[in-house]
Amino acid sequence: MRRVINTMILGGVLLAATACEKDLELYDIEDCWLNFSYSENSGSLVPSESSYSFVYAGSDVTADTIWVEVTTMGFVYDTPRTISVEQVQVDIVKPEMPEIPQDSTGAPVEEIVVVDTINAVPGKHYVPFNDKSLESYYQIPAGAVSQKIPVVLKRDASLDTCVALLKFRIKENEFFKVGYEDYSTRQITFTDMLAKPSQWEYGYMIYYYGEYGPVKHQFLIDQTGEPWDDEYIVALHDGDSAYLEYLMVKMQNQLDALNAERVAQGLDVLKEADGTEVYIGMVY
Amino acid sequence: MNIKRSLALSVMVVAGLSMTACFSDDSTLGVDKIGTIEVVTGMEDTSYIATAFIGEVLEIKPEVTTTLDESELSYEWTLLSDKTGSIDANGDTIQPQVIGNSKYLAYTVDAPAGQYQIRYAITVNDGGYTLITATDLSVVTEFSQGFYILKESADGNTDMDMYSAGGNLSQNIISNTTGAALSGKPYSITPNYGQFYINPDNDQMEATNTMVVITEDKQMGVYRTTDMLQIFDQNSILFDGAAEGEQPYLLNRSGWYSQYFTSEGMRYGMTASMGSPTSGKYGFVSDQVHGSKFFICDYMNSMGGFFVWDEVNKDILWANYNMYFEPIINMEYGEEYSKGLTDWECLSIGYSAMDYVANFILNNTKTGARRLYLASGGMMASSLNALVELDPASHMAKATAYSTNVNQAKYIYCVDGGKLYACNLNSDTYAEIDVNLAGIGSGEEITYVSNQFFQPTWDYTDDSFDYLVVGTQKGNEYHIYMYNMVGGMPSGDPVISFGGDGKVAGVRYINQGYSENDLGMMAFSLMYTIVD
Repeated sequence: MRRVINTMILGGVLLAATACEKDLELYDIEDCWLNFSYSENSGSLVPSESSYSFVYAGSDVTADTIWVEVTTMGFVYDTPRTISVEQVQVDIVKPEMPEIPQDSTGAPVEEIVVVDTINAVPGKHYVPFNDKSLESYYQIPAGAVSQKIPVVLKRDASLDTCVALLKFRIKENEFFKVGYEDYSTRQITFTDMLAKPSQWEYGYMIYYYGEYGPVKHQFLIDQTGEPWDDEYIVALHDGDSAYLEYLMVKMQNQLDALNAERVAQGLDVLKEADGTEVYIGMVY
Repeated sequence: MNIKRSLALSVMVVAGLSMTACFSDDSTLGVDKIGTIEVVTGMEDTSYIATAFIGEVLEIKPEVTTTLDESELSYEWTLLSDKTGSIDANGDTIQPQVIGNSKYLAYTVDAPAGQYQIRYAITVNDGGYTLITATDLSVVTEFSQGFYILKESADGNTDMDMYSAGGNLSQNIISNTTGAALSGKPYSITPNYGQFYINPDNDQMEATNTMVVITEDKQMGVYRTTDMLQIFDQNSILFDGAAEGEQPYLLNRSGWYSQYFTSEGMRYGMTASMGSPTSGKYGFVSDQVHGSKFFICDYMNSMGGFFVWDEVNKDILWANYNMYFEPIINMEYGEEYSKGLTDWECLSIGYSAMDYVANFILNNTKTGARRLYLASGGMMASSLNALVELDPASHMAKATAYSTNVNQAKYIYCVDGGKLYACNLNSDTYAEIDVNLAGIGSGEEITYVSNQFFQPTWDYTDDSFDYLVVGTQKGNEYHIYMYNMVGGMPSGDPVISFGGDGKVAGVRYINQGYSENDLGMMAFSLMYTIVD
């Protein structure tokens, strides 16, 4: 009997071996999710925080559009699906006013301007995400898994003296849940003053030109006639590295010459509004 | 009992059958008889060199043995470069170029100069299989490989001749390709391997081999050696153009950096092996070291550093691998012997790869006295090994031309009174030896000497040589003789001999298959010990 049982067990094992192929369960989760895309087809990264200035847009421009890509997770549908986005209010800490140097009479020797950053106001600084005019754009088309959606920035007069901050996130709706937390928000700061280009923090700008400052930015524009915006900085980085180094030394030399002129005129060397001396050079 | 056993056995059989049911053998391999093909000679056992754009037909007739009938086979010859398989500017993959579909190849060479692989594919027509063999092809142009001769034309300007790998002499290349010779007498000629530039053919930043010619009249021509296209002059090499009265001295490289020395100072960039290609232009002067044509790399002791004569400050300088400059001194001879030598001019610099010692020969412009400096480099410092006041009666003290043997013997060759001598640096008295030369033409006066060599550590082109090069003058005609050497002395008749018009001022060799990326810093730098 033992032999028979052993034989049957062996037979069972063999049978089990023949049964190792098992159909996988079909993916049948109905939920879909939405994320912001932080990379382009080229593989280059899209910063989650970007900036924009109307300064480069020309005086007749009253609004401009920044396109932001979203991608889906889950099934593809053969009907359009609405994309919902909402603003996030940010607790902005107002910077402290630095101490203003005074002369012997107690009068300030220089003007220090601290630029306020405020949460962007819908309708005033940007076209609300749920505005009827944008409805057709805020959709994932039938059969698609990604879409670029417009964020329409408005050139309000208040931007002459402040920076608007627009932080927004994916909002859950009947079609999509919020995707990965790290990919669910974007932030755009914009102004009608010189603004720090998003690309300043990437590539070699910090390495060659040091920390960003609006006075430094204006100096570079004045010396070269170039806007030193994202497009120019990317072109500079992707181009001739010998020219990149040459330009840095040229800007250093011209800054030295300008400072010498200012000192000769009894002025202080070139400084940012907070009193930081403008410096161009490699940061080690 | 028997029923139970039968039941169990039945289960096992069914289980076994169910397993075998998973497989189905539908292969047909081994059914047909496969013929054999073998390429015996003409491909992997050899390599080829051909000159492009002159109508040369490259013929390859491989010896093929096969059990198959000729009618059962088809053939394809393809040409592959290092760019094959990569993506071009239009986003397309660069395909191999089909150059033949016959058993034997007859290809009119029209590919750009460079290194290629030729693949020979023999396919059995009924879909049996394909045999692929390969061989190397080096495509040259008339200008891409050979000896360049810097010369002074009859009217006192600078031009260049070229003795090609194929043994042809092209004369007056600069005036023939640009319309005019460079103004002024010749100052220097230097090969510059891996020169960055923007290739006008495709607007891409690339590296190429160039020959750099500089005149005493502040002119510079940088010529791409594949086709003699001038890619820079003394203005276009700089982002801001040349300063008023700026005299170029030297455009070449040490181990890590490419340097451009002028009367304004030194500018530098990275070399091809150390960074991605740039426009090849230079920006601002980084050091008030002005350099001169008297520059040699110390590839071993200084790890790519160099020795150089500063023509403006009149300094003998050494630089380490990172271009930290210092004068060459020792306990006995301080800075006054190597810096600010206003009464002295440099006549020669040389280097021996036998003991890694550099030498300078200086002439006192007021007294005519001559000195020999012998110095060694190091990682962080250099040392002056000896300072020899040359015997005024010696040939070395009166010579009109010098050159140092780099690889074979510790000799400094010198030309005095139209004759060639070798100063033995191993001798305590710096004894001088007559150098006998065979084959010099009647009435020719020796005016030039140089040790030219091409000995990369990895020479896949088999182009190695080590020649003693002698130039003679007869009226306005020069003649070049190149000798093999044994122990630093010429052996037998010249192996290369040619001549042209003008006065010879320098000879340099360039090899198109040679790249600093292939060979690394040390072997590469040795090329820049050839100075005359």
